Amino acid sequence: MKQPFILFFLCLLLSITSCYAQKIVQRTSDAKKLEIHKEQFIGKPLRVLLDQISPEIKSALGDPEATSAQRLNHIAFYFVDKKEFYRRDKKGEHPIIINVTLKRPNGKQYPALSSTETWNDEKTKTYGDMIIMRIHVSGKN
Amino acid sequence: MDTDNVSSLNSEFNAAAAKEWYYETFKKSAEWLSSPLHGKKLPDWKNGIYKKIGTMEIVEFPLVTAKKTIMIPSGSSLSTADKKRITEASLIKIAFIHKNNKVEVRETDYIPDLSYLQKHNYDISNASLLNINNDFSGQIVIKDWKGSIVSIRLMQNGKITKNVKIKTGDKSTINSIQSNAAKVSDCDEDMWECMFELWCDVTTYGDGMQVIDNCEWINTGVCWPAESNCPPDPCDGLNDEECACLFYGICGGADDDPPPQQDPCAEAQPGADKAKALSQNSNYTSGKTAVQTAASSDGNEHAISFGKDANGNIITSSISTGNDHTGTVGSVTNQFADLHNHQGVLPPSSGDLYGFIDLASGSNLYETRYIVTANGAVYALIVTDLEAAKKFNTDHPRVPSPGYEPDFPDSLVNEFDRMKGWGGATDEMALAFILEKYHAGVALLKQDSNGNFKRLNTKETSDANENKTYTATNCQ
Repeated sequence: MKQPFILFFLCLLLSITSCYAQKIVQRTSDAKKLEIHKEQFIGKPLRVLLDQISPEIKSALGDPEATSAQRLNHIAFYFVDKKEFYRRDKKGEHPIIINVTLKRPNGKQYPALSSTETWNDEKTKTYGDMIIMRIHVSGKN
Repeated sequence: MDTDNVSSLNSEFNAAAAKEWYYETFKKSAEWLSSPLHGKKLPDWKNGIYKKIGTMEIVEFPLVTAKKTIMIPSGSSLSTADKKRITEASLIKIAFIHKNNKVEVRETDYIPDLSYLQKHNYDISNASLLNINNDFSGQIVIKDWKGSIVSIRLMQNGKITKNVKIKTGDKSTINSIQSNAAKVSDCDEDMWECMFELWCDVTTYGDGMQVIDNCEWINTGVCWPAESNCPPDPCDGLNDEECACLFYGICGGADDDPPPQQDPCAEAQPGADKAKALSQNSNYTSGKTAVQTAASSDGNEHAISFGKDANGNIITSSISTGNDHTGTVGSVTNQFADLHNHQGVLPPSSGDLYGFIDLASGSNLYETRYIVTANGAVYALIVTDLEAAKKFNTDHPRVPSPGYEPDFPDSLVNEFDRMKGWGGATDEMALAFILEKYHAGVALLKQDSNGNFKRLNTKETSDANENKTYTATNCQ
């Protein structure tokens, strides 16, 4: 009699855990949800937002290294690489871009962002403490 | 070649499909934005003509537009009134050409000759190259959506009689006597193509646009030298589809010379001359030195404005002090220019551009904004087309960032990113390109070692893999 109860309990625990692990962006088409739920991210470090994105970020462009106090910094995240972007752009399509406007905490300096590599954990480590000021998602799948 | 009406049931790409493609795809594309008249011209969706030629499907609609630019060939003596009538009666159509699952857009200007116009009682609204009984006589100009000319042909009774090629880079302003003196009746003649404009108020309703009265006809006085020749029929040896392809310039490009473009160097030269003249004025040199001295001592931005007193003498504002990233422009009587420093080496910023357009929009006197960078380079923003600058402000509204300067909208910021990150452009190359591509009505100049201000231009090149690269093609 005990065995079914234990099984039920384990299933419940598993589903609760998986609920907690569920990221906001499961598919690229979910990206707009980041903007819809932007209040969760504004004022938080960039890594908090990146933690909520499951699909691979193929390209990231921006100016995190710019040290002018005149302007905020930004990074734009793409789910497509350069070749795919231009292929679709030629057809008049607009691949999804997650635009994140960022502030440098305490005027910290950052290295320039390489435009030829995909986004990776190392980059999250490098830029993850930049503070999110604005999120705007454009384009379609 | 069968001509059907737009309700043809067997067509894959009919009027409805063209309309859907226009709104769902084309209107969201960079190509749509590239036309200075986007949003001010719209197909008349109710009056389309459909034609299938081989595997190519063409749907043509009248194009309702706030501005017609008509090129009238020189030739038989046309009075001013005749030219005005021809401009008014000229028909602009838009063709959506579907081939190989791709859609190309072409505008066709039907510019009637006077006898054809009179024969049709000054109403040529039924003229179309797609009509079986096409008897059009006059000039046909094929353009792309942006307005660049693909081909110009003269026709008599629906048959091509002459190809016309504009001689690029030799735009002239000529008087009507010269214009009328050239011949078009013979083959291989030099001639002129003169530009006339018709500006009308338009109103939109639902998915339609309508011209309301209040049209203004303008003789621009601008004529392009051109040469014409009586071609062997360009469609000789081609089937109907290949011929249509050639005509619309969609199969391997246009068969004619590239279209006349406004020479960006010539366009900016008057403003560049003014920028240089002021830079040689003692009030400018002392003001610039004072700004640089102040900047090097406190690390902040500083600005000075230039105006004129009642006698036309150049006067200056006091030097204003900003912080390490922004400066406030001081005011002075009849203000027409300002100068500020950048602590870094970057060219004018988005905030500099939007602020400059604001000032220029508020005063016709405003001409120039100088930016001196930390390494001594001097940039200048000048107005080349105030109406275009105002439109840029509306079409690409700034994104405010309280406490920081306003930024470009994300679409432009992303384009800057791609140019620099993927295409190898520098900041100044990217700014120069964006200003020209989006018809900002503002040119970016840089002072050379001789004190002259030269416009910065950037050329975009795509390789076979669609990779885009950028090179500077600055005015010399």
